[in-house]
Amino acid sequence: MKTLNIGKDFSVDPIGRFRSDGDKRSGEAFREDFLKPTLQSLAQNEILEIIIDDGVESYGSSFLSEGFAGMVKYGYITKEELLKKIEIKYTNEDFEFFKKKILEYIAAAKYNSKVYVPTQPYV
Amino acid sequence: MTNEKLRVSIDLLNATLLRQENNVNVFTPYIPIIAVIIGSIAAYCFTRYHWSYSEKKKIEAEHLGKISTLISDIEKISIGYWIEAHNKDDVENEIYIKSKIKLLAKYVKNIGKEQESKKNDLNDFASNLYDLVTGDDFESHNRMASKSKAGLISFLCADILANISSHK
Repeated sequence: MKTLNIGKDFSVDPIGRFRSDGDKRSGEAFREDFLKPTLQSLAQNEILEIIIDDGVESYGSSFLSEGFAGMVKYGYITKEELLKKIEIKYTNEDFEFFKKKILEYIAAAKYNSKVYVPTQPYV
Repeated sequence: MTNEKLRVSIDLLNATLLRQENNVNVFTPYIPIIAVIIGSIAAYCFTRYHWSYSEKKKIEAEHLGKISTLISDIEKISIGYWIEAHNKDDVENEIYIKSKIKLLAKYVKNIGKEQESKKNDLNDFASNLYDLVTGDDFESHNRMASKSKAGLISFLCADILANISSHK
């Protein structure tokens, strides 16, 4: 099992949807630079544990939907496969809300429904 | 004849009184005291139950009051955020919005099972509000004002607040 700790490995302050929104802490950056490569490196049947509450205070919907559901929307993985491969973890019970939202966004995403066009960081 | 009838009545009365006397036992003098004690215990239990029920209702009402206040707060900040395009106050308001919605979800989670219907309504509301307020271009430097979004936020919040106050 591999672990991706959003707070430690990515940012304690994830912000925004696209790189062009102003920050390297966006959902797009998380997906393209962290989540996608990590999922692709998993062995068959290996699970990716994603810790969502280590140092992170909260998330916006724009970040979560772009970061997670974007994997399905841009055709990288089907929602069924993605849901099998990840386990969302937290110790702070307040983060149960964000876990539910992540799973909801993935379940609602339409596979390969959009062509990914990378955005440029806001300058 | 009259004397005979009178004699029969007196004999009957005597027989009845003798039966009563024979039915007296050691507990008979205490029956009134026991009745008073049982009555007092019953009254205490009823009062205790009523007090406990009232306290529970009071706590529930206070909890809903906290939730209503928080929803009004979120409504005010969110509408202020979305009626203006990206500006220097955004960073502060984004922090308020995210933390207050997280707190709302926590408060709703703490609603007891006895108010399951209200809890479900508030759960749906918190989820929809989160998507509406923190979706789209939330936290973007390119964010445009959206009065229609602000209107929707106001509508959602007014609806749930009316719902909560009608249940109190």
